[in-house]
Amino acid sequence: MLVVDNIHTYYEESHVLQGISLQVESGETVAILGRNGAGKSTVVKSIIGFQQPRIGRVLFSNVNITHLPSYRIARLGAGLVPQGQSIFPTLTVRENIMLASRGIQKGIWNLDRVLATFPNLGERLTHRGCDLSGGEQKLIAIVRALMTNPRMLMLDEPSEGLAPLIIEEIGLIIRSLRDQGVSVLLVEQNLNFAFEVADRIYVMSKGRIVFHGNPEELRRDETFLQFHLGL
Amino acid sequence: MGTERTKIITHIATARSWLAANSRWVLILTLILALIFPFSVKTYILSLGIEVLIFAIFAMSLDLLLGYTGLPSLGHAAFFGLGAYILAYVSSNSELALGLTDNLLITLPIVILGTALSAVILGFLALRTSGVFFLMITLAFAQMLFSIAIRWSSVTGGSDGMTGVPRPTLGIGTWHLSFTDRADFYYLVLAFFCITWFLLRYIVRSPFGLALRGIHANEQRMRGLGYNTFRYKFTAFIVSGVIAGIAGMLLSQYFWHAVPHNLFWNMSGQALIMVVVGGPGTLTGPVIGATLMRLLPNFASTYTELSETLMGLVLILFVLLAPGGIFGIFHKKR
Repeated sequence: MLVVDNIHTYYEESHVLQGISLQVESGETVAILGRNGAGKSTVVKSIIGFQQPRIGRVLFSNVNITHLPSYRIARLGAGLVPQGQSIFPTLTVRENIMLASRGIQKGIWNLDRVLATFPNLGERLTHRGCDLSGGEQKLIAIVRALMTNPRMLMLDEPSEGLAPLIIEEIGLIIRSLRDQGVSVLLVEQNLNFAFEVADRIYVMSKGRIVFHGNPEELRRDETFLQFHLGL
Repeated sequence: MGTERTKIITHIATARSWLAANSRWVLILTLILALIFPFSVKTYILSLGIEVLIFAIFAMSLDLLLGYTGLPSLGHAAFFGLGAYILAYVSSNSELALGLTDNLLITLPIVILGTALSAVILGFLALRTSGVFFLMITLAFAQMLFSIAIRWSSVTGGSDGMTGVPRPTLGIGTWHLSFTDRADFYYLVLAFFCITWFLLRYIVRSPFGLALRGIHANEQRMRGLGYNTFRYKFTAFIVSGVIAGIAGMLLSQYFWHAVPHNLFWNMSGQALIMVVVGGPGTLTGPVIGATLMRLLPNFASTYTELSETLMGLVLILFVLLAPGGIFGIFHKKR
């Protein structure tokens, strides 16, 4: 589904990603872990085209997307839930959701299905994005990404600053996506959350990948966890 | 002080909900008033009414860029002035102009085509930038046209501009309407105003308009959702430029001339102030702003020479205290 092949990404002269390679198969959930500043978010930005790599290439469904504009990459079926306040604050909930339903191929997700899956959203449709709680905002950002009917969903620190109950709900959504055959690329600092949902894990440090394996292997290696993730 | 403040807030809240509940009736009443307006006022007031409507069209067109899409153009006078000059060139009876016809069925499409073409050129260049660079490029484009209008006097009439612009007519074959009379011209401008209002209302409520507001909120995020945002901004820029051009056309027909001042940055600035003071991101806001900006100097200058200072103060107060403009105070956002 996704092949990231030895990419080097820069901000101006700052060499942020120093040869990152990773893969996400169809229907697989892959997590990227790492401390603040390790370059995790830059990987996502390099894939979606917000910050294009100078060296290396990114393949999505066997299409070379390395230098495509973001909107073309999104139309190929790459969905993104951005970090932080990830919705349009000045638009209503309905508008936030409906924005995602245009310009992209139709699929199983539409407003009716969203409301059936997340019944709490129904009474929030006319509220403006900025009037919602952090958890609700994150949920809507995920729903908005689902409305584009992605084949791969990328989530950039979705659990950041959220209450445990909401994190659990997001975990459930990710698992049900896997059941539907949607690939998930998860960037996280919350190790327990990543251990719970991910099939495979990459650990990043200073712009390189320092570990690649399944959650159990990583969990066992306590000195490694201590050193690279500060646990 | 505290209780006074609470009282004011309560009053505003009451006014908001009353407006929200009765917006349809307010619209109908306003339209009726606008229709009987010429019968009930002196010539001078009717003139002001025509000016207000023309500038309201101009300000609404800018708001599609500034308030909805978040593109701060400081060169919108380029299209306003081009509309005026193109119309003058086609229909004026001065020696410089072609003097072809004053029939709107011919002149209007020419004005639309001409301003659309210039919007395509400027939009293609300016929309590759954003923020202050966009502002500078649009400003530079308008100032360039301004200096051409001043310097190239053998074609443009120089600082005197192009005179002898007739009021328009509308006709096919033997059927013929003339808008030479001031009151008749008022109705023509009112018709253009209403068409612009409903067209823009349709646009901003459509999925296209929603996308523009999404771009305003966060353009990169819109690209991440699969939107080719350049195409959306480009389209909005052209629509906005054409409407501004029509406003400029009407102004030159009203004052019987097209002058370089129509292209000057001061004109762009006025439109910007109308939008900001009236209420960006709404259609009523720019209309209120245009009314205020055209009326206030007329009344203020009777008492003081400092009307421009007064306008400057009004602008500063609104930017600081009411960023939603006048309409933003009374209009509850959903």
